[in-house]
Amino acid sequence: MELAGDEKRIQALFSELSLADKRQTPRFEKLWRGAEATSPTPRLSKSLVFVVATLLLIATGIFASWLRLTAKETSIDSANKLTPQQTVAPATPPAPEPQKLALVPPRRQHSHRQRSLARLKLTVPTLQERAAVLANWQSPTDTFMTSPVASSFSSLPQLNQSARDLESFLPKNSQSMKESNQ
Amino acid sequence: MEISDLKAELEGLHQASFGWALSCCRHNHAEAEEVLQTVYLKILQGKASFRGESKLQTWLFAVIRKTAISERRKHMLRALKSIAIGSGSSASQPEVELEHSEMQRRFQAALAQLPARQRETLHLVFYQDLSLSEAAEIMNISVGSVRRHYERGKKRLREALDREGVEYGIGWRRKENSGAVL
Repeated sequence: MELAGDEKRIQALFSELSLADKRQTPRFEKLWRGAEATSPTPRLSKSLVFVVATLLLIATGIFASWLRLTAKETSIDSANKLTPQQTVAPATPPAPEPQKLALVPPRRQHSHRQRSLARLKLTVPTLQERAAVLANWQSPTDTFMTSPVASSFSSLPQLNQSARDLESFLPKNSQSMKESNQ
Repeated sequence: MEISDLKAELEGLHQASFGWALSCCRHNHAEAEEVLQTVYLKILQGKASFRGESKLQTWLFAVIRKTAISERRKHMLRALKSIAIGSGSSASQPEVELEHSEMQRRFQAALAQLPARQRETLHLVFYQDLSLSEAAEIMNISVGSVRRHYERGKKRLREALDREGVEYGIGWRRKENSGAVL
Protein backbone atom coordinates (compact mmCIF):
# COMPACT_ATOMS: atom_id res chain seq x y z
CA MET A 1 0.00 0.00 0.00
CA GLU A 2 1.36 3.33 -0.98
CA LEU A 3 -0.19 5.16 1.96
CA ALA A 4 1.07 2.67 4.53
CA GLY A 5 4.49 2.88 2.98
CA ASP A 6 4.43 6.62 3.25
CA GLU A 7 3.40 6.40 6.87
CA LYS A 8 6.26 4.04 7.62
CA ARG A 9 8.73 6.34 5.97
CA ILE A 10 7.44 9.36 7.80
CA GLN A 11 7.57 7.47 11.05
CA ALA A 12 11.14 6.44 10.34
CA LEU A 13 12.10 10.06 9.90
CA PHE A 14 10.33 10.97 13.12
CA SER A 15 12.05 8.18 15.01
CA GLU A 16 15.42 9.45 13.84
CA LEU A 17 14.40 12.87 14.99
CA SER A 18 13.39 11.38 18.31
CA LEU A 19 16.79 9.77 18.73
CA ALA A 20 18.50 13.03 17.95
CA ASP A 21 16.29 14.86 20.45
CA LYS A 22 16.97 12.32 23.18
CA ARG A 23 20.66 13.08 22.99
CA GLN A 24 19.95 16.72 23.71
CA THR A 25 17.34 16.27 26.39
CA PRO A 26 18.37 18.10 29.56
CA ARG A 27 18.31 16.15 32.80
CA PHE A 28 14.99 16.03 34.57
CA GLU A 29 16.50 16.98 37.92
CA LYS A 30 18.02 20.12 36.48
CA LEU A 31 14.69 21.44 35.24
CA TRP A 32 12.78 20.25 38.31
CA ARG A 33 15.22 21.89 40.73
CA GLY A 34 15.18 25.04 38.63
CA ALA A 35 11.40 25.10 38.95
CA GLU A 36 11.57 24.42 42.68
CA ALA A 37 14.08 27.23 43.16
CA THR A 38 11.75 29.64 41.40
CA SER A 39 8.83 28.86 43.68
CA PRO A 40 9.83 28.20 47.30
CA THR A 41 6.93 26.74 49.35
CA PRO A 42 4.28 27.67 46.84
CA ARG A 43 1.34 26.00 48.59
CA LEU A 44 2.04 27.76 51.86
CA SER A 45 2.32 31.17 50.26
CA LYS A 46 -0.85 30.57 48.26
CA SER A 47 -2.83 29.59 51.33
CA LEU A 48 -1.32 32.47 53.28
CA VAL A 49 -2.42 34.93 50.64
CA PHE A 50 -5.90 33.42 50.70
CA VAL A 51 -6.14 33.67 54.50
CA VAL A 52 -4.90 37.26 54.55
CA ALA A 53 -7.32 38.24 51.80
CA THR A 54 -10.24 36.63 53.65
CA LEU A 55 -9.33 38.36 56.91
CA LEU A 56 -9.06 41.70 55.15
CA LEU A 57 -12.44 41.17 53.55
CA ILE A 58 -14.07 40.32 56.89
CA ALA A 59 -12.44 43.31 58.62
CA THR A 60 -13.63 45.65 55.88
CA GLY A 61 -17.17 44.29 56.18
CA ILE A 62 -17.24 44.73 59.96
CA PHE A 63 -15.86 48.26 59.71
CA ALA A 64 -18.41 49.21 57.06
CA SER A 65 -21.33 47.87 59.11
CA TRP A 66 -20.03 49.64 62.25
CA LEU A 67 -19.79 52.91 60.36
CA ARG A 68 -23.33 52.50 59.10
CA LEU A 69 -24.67 51.74 62.57
CA THR A 70 -22.94 54.72 64.21
CA ALA A 71 -24.16 57.01 61.45
CA LYS A 72 -27.75 55.84 62.07
CA GLU A 73 -27.44 56.35 65.82
CA THR A 74 -26.07 59.87 65.54
CA SER A 75 -28.71 60.86 63.03
CA ILE A 76 -31.50 59.61 65.34
CA ASP A 77 -29.96 61.42 68.33
CA SER A 78 -29.62 64.69 66.50
CA ALA A 79 -33.15 64.39 65.17
CA ASN A 80 -34.46 63.84 68.71
CA LYS A 81 -32.58 66.89 69.97
CA LEU A 82 -33.87 69.06 67.22
CA THR A 83 -37.58 68.16 67.27
CA PRO A 84 -38.52 70.24 70.40
CA GLN A 85 -37.13 73.37 68.79
CA GLN A 86 -39.40 72.80 65.87
CA THR A 87 -42.49 72.90 68.08
CA VAL A 88 -41.39 76.10 69.84
CA ALA A 89 -40.50 77.78 66.62
CA PRO A 90 -43.77 79.74 66.00
CA ALA A 91 -43.48 81.53 69.37
CA THR A 92 -39.91 82.62 68.78
CA PRO A 93 -39.04 85.73 66.83
CA PRO A 94 -38.99 85.25 63.06
CA ALA A 95 -36.07 83.23 61.82
CA PRO A 96 -33.52 84.64 59.39
CA GLU A 97 -34.49 84.78 55.78
CA PRO A 98 -34.03 81.67 53.69
CA GLN A 99 -31.68 83.44 51.28
CA LYS A 100 -29.24 83.99 54.11
CA LEU A 101 -29.40 80.37 55.07
CA ALA A 102 -28.78 79.30 51.57
CA LEU A 103 -25.70 81.49 51.42
CA VAL A 104 -24.04 79.54 54.23
CA PRO A 105 -21.18 77.68 52.52
CA PRO A 106 -21.75 73.93 52.62
CA ARG A 107 -19.11 71.98 54.44
CA ARG A 108 -17.16 69.37 52.70
CA GLN A 109 -18.58 66.02 53.68
CA HIS A 110 -16.45 62.96 53.57
CA SER A 111 -18.59 60.32 55.03
CA HIS A 112 -22.18 59.29 55.01
CA ARG A 113 -22.46 60.21 58.68
CA GLN A 114 -21.26 63.77 58.16
CA ARG A 115 -23.51 64.13 55.16
CA SER A 116 -26.61 63.08 57.05
CA LEU A 117 -25.80 65.42 59.94
CA ALA A 118 -25.28 68.35 57.64
CA ARG A 119 -28.55 67.56 55.91
CA LEU A 120 -30.34 67.64 59.25
CA LYS A 121 -28.73 70.94 60.15
CA LEU A 122 -29.84 72.45 56.90
CA THR A 123 -33.38 71.14 57.03
CA VAL A 124 -34.26 72.14 60.65
CA PRO A 125 -33.80 75.95 60.29
CA THR A 126 -35.92 75.96 57.21
CA LEU A 127 -38.72 74.31 59.18
CA GLN A 128 -38.44 76.97 61.92
CA GLU A 129 -38.40 79.70 59.39
CA ARG A 130 -41.46 78.26 57.70
CA ALA A 131 -43.32 78.12 60.99
CA ALA A 132 -42.45 81.76 61.75
CA VAL A 133 -43.57 82.86 58.32
CA LEU A 134 -46.83 81.03 58.75
CA ALA A 135 -47.39 82.60 62.16
CA ASN A 136 -46.82 86.12 60.88
CA TRP A 137 -48.73 85.66 57.70
CA GLN A 138 -51.24 88.34 56.77
CA SER A 139 -53.80 88.27 54.07
CA PRO A 140 -53.52 90.95 51.38
CA THR A 141 -57.18 91.93 52.03
CA ASP A 142 -56.44 92.85 55.64
CA THR A 143 -56.00 96.51 54.61
CA PHE A 144 -59.65 96.68 53.63
CA MET A 145 -60.65 95.60 57.10
CA THR A 146 -58.78 98.52 58.76
CA SER A 147 -60.89 101.37 57.22
CA PRO A 148 -62.24 104.26 59.43
CA VAL A 149 -65.72 102.76 59.44
CA ALA A 150 -64.38 99.45 60.60
CA SER A 151 -66.24 99.81 63.90
CA SER A 152 -69.59 100.03 62.11
CA PHE A 153 -68.77 96.68 60.52
CA SER A 154 -67.62 95.17 63.71
CA SER A 155 -70.63 96.23 65.93
CA LEU A 156 -74.38 95.91 65.54
CA PRO A 157 -76.60 99.03 65.63
CA GLN A 158 -78.98 99.20 68.68
CA LEU A 159 -82.65 100.02 68.76
CA ASN A 160 -83.53 103.82 68.96
CA GLN A 161 -79.87 104.58 68.69
CA SER A 162 -80.45 107.50 66.30
CA ALA A 163 -83.22 109.01 68.58
CA ARG A 164 -80.89 108.95 71.50
CA ASP A 165 -78.28 110.65 69.45
CA LEU A 166 -80.75 113.47 68.77
CA GLU A 167 -81.49 113.92 72.46
CA SER A 168 -78.02 115.12 72.95
CA PHE A 169 -78.89 118.23 70.99
CA LEU A 170 -81.96 119.02 73.20
CA PRO A 171 -81.79 121.24 76.37
CA LYS A 172 -80.69 119.27 79.32
CA ASN A 173 -83.53 120.10 81.78
CA SER A 174 -87.20 121.24 81.69
CA GLN A 175 -86.62 124.48 83.68
CA SER A 176 -84.42 125.91 81.18
CA MET A 177 -87.14 125.16 78.64
CA LYS A 178 -89.75 127.06 80.65
CA GLU A 179 -87.54 130.10 80.95
CA SER A 180 -87.10 130.20 77.37
CA ASN A 181 -90.85 130.06 76.75
CA GLN A 182 -91.51 133.08 79.00
CA MET B 1 -1.79 12.46 43.56
CA GLU B 2 1.12 13.21 45.87
CA ILE B 3 3.84 15.45 44.52
CA SER B 4 6.49 12.76 44.99
CA ASP B 5 4.46 10.25 42.95
CA LEU B 6 3.78 12.86 40.34
CA LYS B 7 7.47 13.70 40.18
CA ALA B 8 8.33 10.05 39.52
CA GLU B 9 5.72 9.88 36.76
CA LEU B 10 6.97 13.11 35.22
CA GLU B 11 10.52 11.82 35.27
CA GLY B 12 9.41 8.80 33.31
CA LEU B 13 7.77 11.02 30.71
CA HIS B 14 10.57 13.57 30.66
CA GLN B 15 12.13 12.61 27.34
CA ALA B 16 8.82 12.44 25.52
CA SER B 17 7.83 15.73 27.13
CA PHE B 18 10.99 17.40 25.95
CA GLY B 19 10.46 16.07 22.44
CA TRP B 20 6.93 17.47 22.43
CA ALA B 21 8.18 20.78 23.84
CA LEU B 22 10.77 20.92 21.05
CA SER B 23 8.04 20.35 18.50
CA CYS B 24 5.89 23.08 20.04
CA CYS B 25 8.86 25.46 20.01
CA ARG B 26 9.86 24.75 16.40
CA HIS B 27 12.92 22.85 17.58
CA ASN B 28 14.37 25.74 19.51
CA HIS B 29 16.30 23.90 22.21
CA ALA B 30 16.57 26.77 24.71
CA GLU B 31 12.93 27.71 24.33
CA ALA B 32 11.80 24.11 24.79
CA GLU B 33 13.85 23.85 27.97
CA GLU B 34 12.33 27.04 29.29
CA VAL B 35 8.84 25.84 28.44
CA LEU B 36 9.32 22.51 30.19
CA GLN B 37 10.71 24.20 33.28
CA THR B 38 7.74 26.54 33.29
CA VAL B 39 5.43 23.53 33.11
CA TYR B 40 7.13 21.96 36.11
CA LEU B 41 6.83 25.27 37.91
CA LYS B 42 3.12 25.37 37.16
CA ILE B 43 2.73 21.89 38.56
CA LEU B 44 4.67 22.81 41.71
CA GLN B 45 2.63 25.97 42.22
CA GLY B 46 -0.61 24.09 41.67
CA LYS B 47 -1.55 26.18 38.67
CA ALA B 48 -1.67 22.97 36.65
CA SER B 49 -3.09 20.09 38.63
CA PHE B 50 -3.72 16.58 37.38
CA ARG B 51 -7.20 15.40 38.38
CA GLY B 52 -7.01 11.98 36.78
CA GLU B 53 -9.68 12.75 34.21
CA SER B 54 -7.37 11.63 31.41
CA LYS B 55 -4.02 9.94 30.96
CA LEU B 56 -1.16 11.75 32.66
CA GLN B 57 0.71 12.01 29.37
CA THR B 58 -2.28 13.54 27.60
CA TRP B 59 -2.74 16.08 30.37
CA LEU B 60 0.98 16.89 30.51
CA PHE B 61 1.25 17.36 26.77
CA ALA B 62 -1.77 19.67 26.78
CA VAL B 63 -0.13 21.76 29.49
CA ILE B 64 3.15 21.85 27.55
CA ARG B 65 1.35 22.93 24.40
CA LYS B 66 -0.51 25.74 26.14
CA THR B 67 2.64 26.91 27.89
CA ALA B 68 4.60 26.87 24.65
CA ILE B 69 1.96 28.97 22.94
CA SER B 70 1.93 31.55 25.74
CA GLU B 71 5.74 31.60 25.93
CA ARG B 72 5.94 32.13 22.18
CA ARG B 73 3.59 35.09 22.52
CA LYS B 74 5.75 36.53 25.28
CA HIS B 75 8.88 36.09 23.16
CA MET B 76 7.21 37.81 20.24
CA LEU B 77 6.15 40.72 22.44
CA ARG B 78 9.67 41.01 23.86
CA ALA B 79 11.10 40.96 20.35
CA LEU B 80 8.67 43.64 19.24
CA LYS B 81 9.58 45.78 22.24
CA SER B 82 13.30 45.40 21.61
CA ILE B 83 12.74 46.42 17.99
CA ALA B 84 10.71 49.41 19.13
CA ILE B 85 13.38 50.46 21.63
CA GLY B 86 16.07 49.95 19.03
CA SER B 87 18.42 47.68 20.88
CA GLY B 88 20.69 46.08 18.35
CA SER B 89 21.13 42.73 20.05
CA SER B 90 18.39 40.57 18.60
CA ALA B 91 19.93 37.24 19.50
CA SER B 92 18.75 36.74 23.10
CA GLN B 93 20.16 33.32 23.75
CA PRO B 94 23.02 31.43 22.13
CA GLU B 95 21.57 28.86 19.81
CA VAL B 96 22.56 25.31 20.47
CA GLU B 97 24.06 23.96 17.32
CA LEU B 98 22.57 20.60 16.66
CA GLU B 99 24.53 17.89 14.99
CA HIS B 100 21.93 16.59 12.66
CA SER B 101 22.55 14.72 9.54
CA GLU B 102 21.78 16.45 6.30
CA MET B 103 18.66 14.36 5.92
CA GLN B 104 17.44 15.32 9.38
CA ARG B 105 18.06 18.97 8.63
CA ARG B 106 16.02 18.71 5.47
CA PHE B 107 13.31 16.79 7.24
CA GLN B 108 13.05 19.49 9.85
CA ALA B 109 12.95 22.11 7.14
CA ALA B 110 10.09 20.22 5.50
CA LEU B 111 8.28 19.96 8.84
CA ALA B 112 8.69 23.68 9.42
CA GLN B 113 6.81 24.36 6.21
CA LEU B 114 3.67 22.72 7.61
CA PRO B 115 0.98 24.65 9.45
CA ALA B 116 1.28 24.33 13.24
CA ARG B 117 -1.78 22.11 13.70
CA GLN B 118 -0.65 19.66 11.01
CA ARG B 119 2.88 19.56 12.39
CA GLU B 120 1.59 18.95 15.90
CA THR B 121 -0.73 16.18 14.77
CA LEU B 122 2.02 14.39 12.88
CA HIS B 123 4.38 14.72 15.83
CA LEU B 124 1.86 13.29 18.31
CA VAL B 125 0.99 10.39 16.02
CA PHE B 126 4.39 9.48 14.62
CA TYR B 127 6.82 10.72 17.24
CA GLN B 128 4.84 10.08 20.42
CA ASP B 129 2.87 7.08 19.13
CA LEU B 130 -0.42 8.50 20.31
CA SER B 131 -3.83 7.82 18.82
CA LEU B 132 -5.82 10.46 16.99
CA SER B 133 -8.29 10.74 19.87
CA GLU B 134 -5.43 11.37 22.31
CA ALA B 135 -4.00 13.94 19.93
CA ALA B 136 -7.42 15.58 19.74
CA GLU B 137 -7.57 15.76 23.52
CA ILE B 138 -4.13 17.31 23.76
CA MET B 139 -4.85 19.85 21.03
CA ASN B 140 -8.32 20.55 22.44
CA ILE B 141 -10.07 19.97 19.13
CA SER B 142 -12.40 17.31 17.75
CA VAL B 143 -11.21 13.95 16.47
CA GLY B 144 -12.57 14.83 13.03
CA SER B 145 -10.40 17.93 12.90
CA VAL B 146 -7.35 15.96 14.00
CA ARG B 147 -7.98 13.39 11.30
CA ARG B 148 -8.21 16.17 8.73
CA HIS B 149 -4.95 17.73 9.97
CA TYR B 150 -3.35 14.29 9.92
CA GLU B 151 -4.29 13.54 6.32
CA ARG B 152 -3.45 16.99 5.01
CA GLY B 153 -0.25 17.06 7.04
CA LYS B 154 0.95 13.77 5.58
CA LYS B 155 0.22 14.94 2.08
CA ARG B 156 1.96 18.25 2.59
CA LEU B 157 4.92 16.62 4.26
CA ARG B 158 5.36 14.25 1.36
CA GLU B 159 5.35 17.15 -1.04
CA ALA B 160 7.75 19.12 1.12
CA LEU B 161 10.10 16.15 1.44
CA ASP B 162 10.07 15.76 -2.31
CA ARG B 163 10.94 19.41 -2.68
CA GLU B 164 13.70 19.13 -0.10
CA GLY B 165 14.97 16.02 -1.84
CA VAL B 166 14.88 13.79 1.17
CA GLU B 167 15.53 10.18 0.37
CA TYR B 168 13.20 8.83 2.99
CA GLY B 169 12.76 5.41 1.54
CA ILE B 170 15.74 3.98 3.37
CA GLY B 171 15.59 5.75 6.69
CA TRP B 172 12.74 3.94 8.38
CA ARG B 173 13.42 1.05 10.63
CA ARG B 174 10.86 1.09 13.42
CA LYS B 175 7.54 -0.58 14.01
CA GLU B 176 4.47 0.27 12.03
CA ASN B 177 2.54 3.24 13.27
CA SER B 178 -0.23 2.17 15.56
CA GLY B 179 -1.17 5.70 16.53
CA ALA B 180 -2.94 6.46 13.28
CA VAL B 181 -5.75 4.08 14.25
CA LEU B 182 -8.30 5.26 16.74
